[in-house]
Amino acid sequence: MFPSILASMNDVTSILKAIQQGEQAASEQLLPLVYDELRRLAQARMAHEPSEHTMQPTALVHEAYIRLVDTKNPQTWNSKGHFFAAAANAMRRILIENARQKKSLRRGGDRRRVDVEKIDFEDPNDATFLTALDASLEQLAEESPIVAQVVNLRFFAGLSIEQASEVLDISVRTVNRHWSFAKAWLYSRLVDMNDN
Amino acid sequence: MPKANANVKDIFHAALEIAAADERSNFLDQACSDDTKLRAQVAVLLESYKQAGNFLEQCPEMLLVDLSATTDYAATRPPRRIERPNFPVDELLPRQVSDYELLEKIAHGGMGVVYRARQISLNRIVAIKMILSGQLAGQDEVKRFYIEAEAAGKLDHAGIVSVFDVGCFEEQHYYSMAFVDGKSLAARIKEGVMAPREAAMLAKKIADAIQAAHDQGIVHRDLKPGNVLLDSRGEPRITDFGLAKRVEGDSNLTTTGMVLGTPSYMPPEQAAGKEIDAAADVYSLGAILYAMLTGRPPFEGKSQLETLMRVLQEEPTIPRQLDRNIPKDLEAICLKCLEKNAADRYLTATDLSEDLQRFLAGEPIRARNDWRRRIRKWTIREPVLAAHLAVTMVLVAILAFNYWIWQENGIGKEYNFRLLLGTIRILLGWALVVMIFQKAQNVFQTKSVIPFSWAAINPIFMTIALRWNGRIGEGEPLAWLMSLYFLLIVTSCFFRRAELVVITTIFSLCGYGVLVNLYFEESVQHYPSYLVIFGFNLAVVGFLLGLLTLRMKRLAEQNST
Repeated sequence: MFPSILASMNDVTSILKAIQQGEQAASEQLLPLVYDELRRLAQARMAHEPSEHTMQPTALVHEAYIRLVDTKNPQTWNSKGHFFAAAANAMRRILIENARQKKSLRRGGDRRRVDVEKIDFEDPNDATFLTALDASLEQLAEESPIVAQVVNLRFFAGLSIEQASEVLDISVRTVNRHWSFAKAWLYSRLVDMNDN
Repeated sequence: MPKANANVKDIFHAALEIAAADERSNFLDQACSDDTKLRAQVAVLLESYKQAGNFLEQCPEMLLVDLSATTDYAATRPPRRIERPNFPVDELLPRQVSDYELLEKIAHGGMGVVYRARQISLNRIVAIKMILSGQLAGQDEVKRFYIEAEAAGKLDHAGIVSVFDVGCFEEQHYYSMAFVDGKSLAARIKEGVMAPREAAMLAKKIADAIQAAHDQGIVHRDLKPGNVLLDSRGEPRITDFGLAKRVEGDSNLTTTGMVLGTPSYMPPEQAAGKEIDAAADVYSLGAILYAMLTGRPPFEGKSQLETLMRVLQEEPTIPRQLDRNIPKDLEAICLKCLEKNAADRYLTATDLSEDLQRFLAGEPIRARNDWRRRIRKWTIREPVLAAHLAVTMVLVAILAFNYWIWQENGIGKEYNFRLLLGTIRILLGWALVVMIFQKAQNVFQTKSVIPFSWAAINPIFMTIALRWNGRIGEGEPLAWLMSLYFLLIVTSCFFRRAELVVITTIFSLCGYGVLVNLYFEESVQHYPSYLVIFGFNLAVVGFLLGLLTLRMKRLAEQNST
C-alpha cells in the first residue's frame, strides 16, 4: 500500500492554523482556558481553606470571570455571553467527568454490567442523576439548542433567570418559558429512563 | 418521549397559564383537535412540570477535591489542544506536601504534575511528581506502584535520576527524585536533528545507564526522549524508572506539545499488549536514536490506534532516506534495535552500547544488513512497488516460457519473437514508471496526485500491453487476457483507499472499452450482451471492493476515536 503516513502529516499544524484563522467557534477556544482556570481556582481554594471542600459552581464561575476577563492579555472573547456559555460547558464537563469516574469506581470498573441504578431526583450531586441528565440534555439540545443552553447556564453555572437573560440577550420572560419547558421535558425524560 | 417541536412547546406554555383544571383540559382538546398523540405529549409535560418541583433548581455542589484533581481539559478531549496563554502559575505556590515545599511547576502531563520542590528535612532541592487521583485504580495498582518505586529507589547510576521517596498526601500519591536542571531530550530533538556522532555518543550513554538498571532486574517500559533529561553538562539522565508506564501513560501530552500521547517509542510486543522485558528497552533505545538522527520517531499516526497499527505492521522509513548524511553503519545499528522480532535485536543494552562504540571508533560493526533481510524489509516498506515488480517478473517469465514452447513446436518464430520483445518492453516500462512513482511518493508524500496517477496508469499500461498482443498476434484469444483487469481491480485494494479502487476500476473499464472497440467488432457482433456482461462485472467488482475498502477505513477510524 502507499505509505499511509500521507494521511497523518501536518495534522497538528493544520488544527493550530485553523484556530488562528478563526475557523473555530470562539467558545471552542475558550472552553479549555476556562476549564483550566476553574481547576486552578479550585486548587487555590483548597490550598487556602483546606477545611471547606465544597462550593457552589456559581461562585467559582464568577470568580473565574473576574480573573480571566481582567487579565492583561488581549481578550479573545468579547462578550459576557461567550464566557458564561463556555464556563457552563466547562462546569458541565467537569461534573459529568467526575460523576462518570465515581460510577466506574463504584462498579469496580466493570462496564459490561447493565446499569440498573435508579435516578435520584432529589440529589443534584448524585452521579447517576448527573450522567442521565447529561445524556437527556444532549437530546434536548438537538431539538432546541437555546432551551438546553438555558439549562446549562442555570444548572451548571448557577446563573439566575435574570443573569441568564442578560447573558443570552433575550427577555426574562423568554428565559422563564424556556426554563419551565426544559424542566418539564427533562423530568419526563428522566422518569422514562427510571421506568425502563 | 415527547418531541420539543414548536407546537408542543406553544401549547404547553399556553396551557400552563390556565390555572383551572377543567378549563385547561378544554383548552387542550381545542388546541390539539384530534391529534391524540400531541395531546398526550403535552399532558405528560404538564404533569411532569407539576411533579418536578425543586428539580434542577438546586445547583450541584462542586467537590473542590475532585475538581482540583480532575484531569485537565486536554485529557478529557484529546484531539484538540489549544495553546494556553501563560498564566502566572506559581501564585498558588509555595504549598507544602508532607516533607516537601512545592516551589514551581516544571512539567505537566496527562496524569501527573512535576514540581520543583524543597525537601524540608534535608533542605535540598528535589523534583516531585504528584499523581492525579484516580490514576492508580485499585489497591493492587497502588501496591505495585510502591513496590516498583522502591526498586527504582535502589538504582544508583550517574545516568539515572534516582527516586528518593514515595508517599501519599491527602489521597494524592507522589514520588520525589533528584532535580535535574536542564531540558529533556525531547526538547533537544525539537530544536533540530543531532549530528550522527553526537547522537551515537548520547545513545551509548543512555544504553549504559539502561543496562545498569537491567542488571538490577528493572525494565523502564516507557523509554522515550521525554523521559531522558539532559543535565547542564549535556549528560543524559533517565527518569521515571519502572514507574513511567504505570503512572504516566502519556507524558508528552504537554511536554512536547503533541496532541496525543503516542506509542511511537513502544516496541511491537508492548503495542500488542504482550509481556515485555529488557528487549523492549533496547527497541525504545533504537527509537530514540532514530529520533535523534531524523528528528521524528520511527512511527507516527494521527491517532494512537493508527500509530499502534504502524508499530505492529510497518517498517520505519530508512533514516538515510530522510537524511543522506547519516552513516550507513549507524543506520544499521538503529534498525537492528527496531526489529519487530525481539530475538533479532541486540540481546542486551550492552551489546548495543558496544556496537555504538565500534561505530564511534570506526571499527566494523556487528549489525550489518544482509541482502535477504533487506529484501524482506523492503517488501514490507513498499509493498505496492514490490508487488508490481514481482508480478512483472512473473509475467516476463511466463512469456519467456511460452516463447520457448513455441520454438519447440516451430510456430512462426520471428513473428513471436517480436511479440515477446514488445511485451517485455512494455512491462519493463511499466515497472520503471511504478518505481519512479514510489520514489516520488517517498519524497513528496502527496495524498492525491501520485497515488491517483499511480492507480490510473496501471490499467493504461495493461491496456497498452494487451493491445500490443492483440495487434501482432491476430487471432489470439485476447478475451482470456481481459480477465487480468479483474486482477488489477482486486489488487488495487492494497492501496487501502476507496478512491484509488474507483480510479482503477474506471480506467480498467475505459481500457476494456477501447480494446472491445478495436478488436471485437466483427467476431462478437452477434453476442453484444457478452461484452456488456463482462464490463458490468468489472464495474460491480470495482464498486463492491471500493465499498469494502471504505468500510474498513471507517471501522479503523471509529476504533481510533
